Amino acid sequence: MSTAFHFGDSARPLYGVFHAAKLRAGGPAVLLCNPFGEEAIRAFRIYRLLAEKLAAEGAPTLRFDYYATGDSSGDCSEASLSGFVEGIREAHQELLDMSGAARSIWIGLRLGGAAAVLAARQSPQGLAGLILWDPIVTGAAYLDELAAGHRAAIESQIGRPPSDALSEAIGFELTDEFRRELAALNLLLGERTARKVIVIAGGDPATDPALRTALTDAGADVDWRADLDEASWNSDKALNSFVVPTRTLELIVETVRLWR
Amino acid sequence: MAVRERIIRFGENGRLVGMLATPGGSFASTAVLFFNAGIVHRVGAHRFNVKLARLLAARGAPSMRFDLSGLGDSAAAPPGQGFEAQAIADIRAAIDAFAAALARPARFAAIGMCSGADNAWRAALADERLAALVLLDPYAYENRRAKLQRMAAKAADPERWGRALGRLGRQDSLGQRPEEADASRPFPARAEFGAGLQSLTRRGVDMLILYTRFVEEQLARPEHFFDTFRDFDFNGRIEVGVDRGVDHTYTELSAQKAVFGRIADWLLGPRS
Repeated sequence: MSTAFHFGDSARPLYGVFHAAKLRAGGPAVLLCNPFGEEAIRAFRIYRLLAEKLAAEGAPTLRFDYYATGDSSGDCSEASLSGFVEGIREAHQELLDMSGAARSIWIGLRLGGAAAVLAARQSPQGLAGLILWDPIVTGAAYLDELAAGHRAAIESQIGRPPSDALSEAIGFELTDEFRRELAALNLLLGERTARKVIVIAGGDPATDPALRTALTDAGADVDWRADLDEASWNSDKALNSFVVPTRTLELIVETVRLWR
Repeated sequence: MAVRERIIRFGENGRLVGMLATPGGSFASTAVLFFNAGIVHRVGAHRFNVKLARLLAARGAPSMRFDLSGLGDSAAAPPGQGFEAQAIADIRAAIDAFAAALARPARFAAIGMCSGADNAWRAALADERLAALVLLDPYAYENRRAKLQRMAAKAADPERWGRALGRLGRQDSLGQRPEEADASRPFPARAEFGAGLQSLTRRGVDMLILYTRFVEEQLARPEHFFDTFRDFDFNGRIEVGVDRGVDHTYTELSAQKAVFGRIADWLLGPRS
């Protein structure tokens, strides 16, 4: 059974869906951290399915929208990486309160993976570890990717270059402040993060393998999985179909089930 | 004007999920329902429905965006009904829940994009409470004048052949090529769609129909639409726009701003 609700600061409430479960003794809860923009739209169904599978395996799971995204309050022009990081910390606390779990695993897809790493650097109490799924490693490369994706979308659909390839990304605003935050994002700098990190690196473009070294150097126990040979969830075609990256979801559910 | 939002669960065992957006101040008489586009959840492509719902609420119009059975946060329906029949049943339940939540008389309008427009058309035929429709890229049928003009333009401009070839691989951001959309989106016969529109207008339903570049092979100007349905009388209740400079889901922010303004003005009257 899932429960949709608002939580966090009443002046800027966040939308969340809690998937209740009969918590395994000592078992972790799970927090799902969204990617950004068009990718969040594409990932919605996959996250719902993943949350249902995790709850069925005894892991209470919370999925939520960051401030200024999805059904949460806030205008798209207010979206920011720092806001996403703050949202993860708020949602983590909410999840522990609702589930009764002592700790939670954060699963972050694409920019959600990077935001989870940044939030983990603040050493929140009760963080069990991270599962990073095709994480964004450097914001500069991600900005290039967003610009190329926006240009390709407009050119293929309208037959002309986009009117603005810098401050918007496939239907979503990219303010100067958000761009500055992304430009400064670099997970290779090796700052301390969670003790245990699983990286699922099967996407296109491939996750920079230097992330493994950086996380290890920062003291994390890293399990790097790049061998899933998975159908892409992140495509125009997948958006309007029921494509599900089955092997990745199975790996995540199994990883959470065996989490120690 | 501040906008208030709250979650609403409705339908059998509360298995359907929606979001009510209401104005902080006085209410307009029009209340708006948003339908799913394809299988995208209720926030819409590029958060289209959230942005427009908040704009409408700021101008006094309450709205409800929700997920049909099995989409978004709504649970699947028990087996038994086809998708179209289930969608109509869900929409009826949504109007019931919306009316109860508003607790005031309202003129109900529906906004649907792509398959959401198809559902809006069908739902309005089935439920007389729907009094206004905004249909974004609903069914489109090839028009003889549009075809002649297109052929003439191509003949006069060989470069268009190259561009037409380039479009062969094109997909819209709901993940469909137009012809694939047609395959996965069974079209009623032209006469059936026209007759349905006519019966709605006779009932007093007003419609704003906006087409994009997505249907450029079918029509390029509003008069092509009316020529296609020249054997029907829409009683002056259908306004048609065609913007060939925007894509199926209004990806560019400038396109979103323009269409939001047009829809809000059409539903609520021009901002004074």
